[in-house]
Amino acid sequence: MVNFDESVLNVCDFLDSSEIISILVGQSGEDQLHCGIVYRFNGKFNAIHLAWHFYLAHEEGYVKNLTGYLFLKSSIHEIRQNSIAAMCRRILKRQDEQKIPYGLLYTGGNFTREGVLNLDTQESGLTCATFVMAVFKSCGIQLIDIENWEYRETDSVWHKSIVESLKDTKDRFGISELHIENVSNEQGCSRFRPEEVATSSVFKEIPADSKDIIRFGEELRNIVMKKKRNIHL
Amino acid sequence: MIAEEVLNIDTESKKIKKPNKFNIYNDVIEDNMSCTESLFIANYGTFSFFDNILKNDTSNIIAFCTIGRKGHAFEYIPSVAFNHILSKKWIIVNRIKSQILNLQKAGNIENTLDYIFDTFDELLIDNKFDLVNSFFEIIDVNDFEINSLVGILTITTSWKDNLLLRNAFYQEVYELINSMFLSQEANRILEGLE
Repeated sequence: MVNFDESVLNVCDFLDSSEIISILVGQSGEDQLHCGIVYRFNGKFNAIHLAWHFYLAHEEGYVKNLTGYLFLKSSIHEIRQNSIAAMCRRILKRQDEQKIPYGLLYTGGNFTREGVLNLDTQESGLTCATFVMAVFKSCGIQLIDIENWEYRETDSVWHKSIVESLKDTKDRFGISELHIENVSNEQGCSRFRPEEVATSSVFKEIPADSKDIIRFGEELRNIVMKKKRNIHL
Repeated sequence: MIAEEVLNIDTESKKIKKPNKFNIYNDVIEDNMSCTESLFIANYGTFSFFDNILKNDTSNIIAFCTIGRKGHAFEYIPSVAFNHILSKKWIIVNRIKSQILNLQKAGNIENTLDYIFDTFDELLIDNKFDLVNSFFEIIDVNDFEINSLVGILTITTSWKDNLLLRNAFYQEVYELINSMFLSQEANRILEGLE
């Protein structure tokens, strides 16, 4: 079993650590968490995260400002962490070739085949959490057993809010009516929450048991919600 | 088997000593069938005689010449033997190998991995599976750092159905890593990359 206290680092502890990559998680809205990947490059930490539709954000040397965020100390071997960091840089280099759409349903899309993002035929895009899952999957690491991840009633509330947000921001982010319709049709799928995806990387065995991920995810959420909101879209 | 074609010594050629000259045509050495001792190919024109040694051990010295050297004749380098036409594919693959080894030598893991990820991803996106298979075929895993080998396995993992020689490459890496790390740690390094 994982020692949760030792796996959750604040920004100062993280910067002092020898970690090469980490999943970061923080509060981005009143009841909304956000996650992404931090990776070391040229002695600095950069963050990559899917902020919204066609909006893959990259923060160079930005990590020291993320005081409201927590960093999960991954159990993944340092050698594998180097490759995950390289994958993040590769995805960034290719982002002009294809913007990453936002969507609810995740069935295992990844970033390696077909040039940029290879989504399942049913998938419309990624969330911030499934973006992280897709990056790790592209590196051969399945963070969560998606086949056995159950739908929860509260998922539909969040789905509905996302569809509304897509509608509200369609002009600003160039979101087509067709895309909104496709995402709307994905409502009712299982949701992978940012805190759960972040937690999934710390277990000794990956993917860990879904119940353990959810339990630690709730603990992590409680810790994050106590921290000050730090990032705005 | 490209590497074998290039590196195997033709016993017939060994018997007949021919003049120590050969020519380069169409970017590759073509007139080397009769050579028993010779040198070979490099790609960067700024060097004088040969440009880049790709392999140097007791039996082989393999190097590149440039397109600009096409048609030029060169003196042989003694103690080196090969007897088949070098294909352009072989040259490209060796260039990739050479570049990885040079970057490793410079000691920057990030630059080495970025080169591996960019190069292999672009080859795979262009469906140049034969080149990647040739790479798996010619390299000796012992020449590479573990980070590089894991990087190659990582960037090729989603394409394994197209890469017939990747599994054999994985097995070599598996044996190497298991000889260097305890079993549990070796599993952590390789899990999901088979």
